[in-house]
Amino acid sequence: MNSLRHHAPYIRHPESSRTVMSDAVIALVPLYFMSYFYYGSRVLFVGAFSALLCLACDWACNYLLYRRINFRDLSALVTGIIISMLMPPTIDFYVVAAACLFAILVTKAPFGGTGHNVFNPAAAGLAFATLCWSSKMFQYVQPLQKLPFTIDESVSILQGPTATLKLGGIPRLGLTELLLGNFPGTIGSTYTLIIFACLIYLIARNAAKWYLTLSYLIPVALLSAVNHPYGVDPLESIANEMFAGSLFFVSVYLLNDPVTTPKYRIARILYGFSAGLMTMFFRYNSPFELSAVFAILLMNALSPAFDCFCEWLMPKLQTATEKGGTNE
Amino acid sequence: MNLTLVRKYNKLLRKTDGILLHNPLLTLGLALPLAIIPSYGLIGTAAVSVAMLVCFVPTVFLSGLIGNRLPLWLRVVVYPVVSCLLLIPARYLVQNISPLIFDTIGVYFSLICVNSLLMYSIEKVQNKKPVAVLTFALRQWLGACLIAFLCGAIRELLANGSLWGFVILKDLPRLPVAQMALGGFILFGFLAALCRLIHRLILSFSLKAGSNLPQSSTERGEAGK
Amino acid sequence: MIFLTELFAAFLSAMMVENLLFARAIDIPGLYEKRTPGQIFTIGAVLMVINCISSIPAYLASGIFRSHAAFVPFMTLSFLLINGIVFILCYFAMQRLMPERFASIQKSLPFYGVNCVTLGTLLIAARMSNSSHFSSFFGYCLGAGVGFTCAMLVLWSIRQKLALTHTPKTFRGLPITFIYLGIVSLALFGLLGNQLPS
Repeated sequence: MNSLRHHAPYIRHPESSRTVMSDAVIALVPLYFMSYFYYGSRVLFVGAFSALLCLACDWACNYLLYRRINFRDLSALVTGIIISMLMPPTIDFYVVAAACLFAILVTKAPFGGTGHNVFNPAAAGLAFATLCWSSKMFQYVQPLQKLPFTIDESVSILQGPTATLKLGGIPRLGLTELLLGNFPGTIGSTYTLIIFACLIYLIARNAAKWYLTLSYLIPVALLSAVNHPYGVDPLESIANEMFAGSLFFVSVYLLNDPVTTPKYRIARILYGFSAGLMTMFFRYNSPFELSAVFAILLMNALSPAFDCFCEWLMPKLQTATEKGGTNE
Repeated sequence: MNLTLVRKYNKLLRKTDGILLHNPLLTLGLALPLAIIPSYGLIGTAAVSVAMLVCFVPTVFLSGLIGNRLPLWLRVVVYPVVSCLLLIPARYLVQNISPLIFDTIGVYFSLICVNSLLMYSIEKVQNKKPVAVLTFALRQWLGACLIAFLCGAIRELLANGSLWGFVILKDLPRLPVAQMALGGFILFGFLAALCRLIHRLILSFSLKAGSNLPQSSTERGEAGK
Repeated sequence: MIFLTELFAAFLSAMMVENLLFARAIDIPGLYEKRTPGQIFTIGAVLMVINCISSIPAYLASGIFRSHAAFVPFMTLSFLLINGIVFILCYFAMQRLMPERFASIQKSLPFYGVNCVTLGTLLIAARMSNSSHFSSFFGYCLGAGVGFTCAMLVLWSIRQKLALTHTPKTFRGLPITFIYLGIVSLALFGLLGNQLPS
């Protein structure tokens, strides 16, 4: 008897790891154009270095662990791009290399590679770099200047608006500046308008869930409105908290990682809401500006618990609904 | 397949039970507080190792002598108290290693008397003979110290570029996280994986080595005919 | 109000920033055993009850050690005795009051009664400069117990996910446990910053 090996006929899902990751790459690349416009070609080198290093490292790990090297797997590329996006434009290459190596060698490969990682590799790599070289990770420069390849003393280093927020100050940024990212910040996480457009693309392609991003942003907005500094409008406080740093970028690209998020819709909403609360807790108590990645990393650990909670809750809710229906 | 090599290897492992085989840190994950935080450097590791020798080995020996005469609920209180009493002379011994050692290892010095390795060992030696108990305790201590020293050296080199306080690597970038708890956890994870990998490689090498050996005497005899 | 504020601050600090497992690497015997959430909550409850009851005599004893520096080397011994006595009282109280629950955890209960977590909590709380008030001392002991329970739940959660993944053979078991402990610890160090816990 001849038999053919193919997918079961009931699997009709158009999305695969390849399509989701390609969509993520498509949604990330426009940020490089904006970044190139603001900071020159150095940021492109940082991005290319990070992406290629992650890819090479992933292939090497697959080879060493006797796994088939899949050249169509773009998840390592996405990790590399996200790491470079959340780095400052003046970052040294060895910091980028350390973050990429940690992301792939510690957070991804030991857990079984693509689709099996418990923690988001990019978040872990960035958290590691932040903890090791916190002084280098928050050295920003004024946009609209061509940065030299080697950063020397001629480049004036500035603080980002998130540092001002952490110190209790008020970063006086206009709406246009906030939307276009025209203020000292990371390579690619401050261009709110472009990120928003990319979010719409990702939602349309089913690579991101609107309710996950929304459930993350709601507690952030609520807490920043309640906790607004004296003399600042609550709406301005919300805009500053969300768009002056990398929080919006994190809510679009890191939070929507299909591997590390829970599988049920209710669990995802709970996960997003808790991640938002945790981010604000970290923002108020952490000594670092880039607190969202630490919060996401912690929530990644709890993601399976949310799924288990839903599995426990759903039959109970169903029974209660059925009982209600019978009573009626 | 060369079973002689495999047997030799297994015999070596049996001889080093507690050190290479069933290592308390890398195989059983015991004594975590003593292995992760105080082993940030060689001085801290040495202090904990000396204190462990003074507290852990006699307590386990005593528990082996007493055996099952004490109920479990009393055992878990009595032996830590004995170990804690031994900690007082150990304190004076450890002070000779470095006068500031208690400031750096803090409460971890006191936790020696209740660590999970002690709890595991006092239960493990209940029905053993005194000599076997002493050997068991010494092996466990040696196994733990060996790995703790290795980790201490790696972490001190990565974080400060030094060994026992003497700077060795001057111009290399430092990795301060190596001295934190997370550095210890990750290093232990990779060391445990490395040990397992080496074990599997040796086994597969021993099994493959046999394929090139001459065949058994019966087969050779038949071939000769 | 000040009492509650101090209690809450110490509670949060012990639960998250200075989590016994992730920030201080303090464990209990049998930490890596597979458990259900029910068992984890039972262990957590035992740790919390013993921590909270021990905190009262330990606070009084720490006052004596604070005023008489010569007795400091005996602090560990006294805290261990307090911990041991509290555990024995709890052991027999549980045997009498909750015989069914006691029967289910009889063998492992002694190891959850006297261990690094219970003794370590008392020692750390006594050494903290801001724990001269009972509220801080008690808050720290309570928070440490809750924090350790949360840490065990986090481990359980990750284990649930790992059961569905293809972890390489070399990393299965203890190595991957250490690695994910390290990554969660990394996340919590985002609160603590680039420093070792005091």
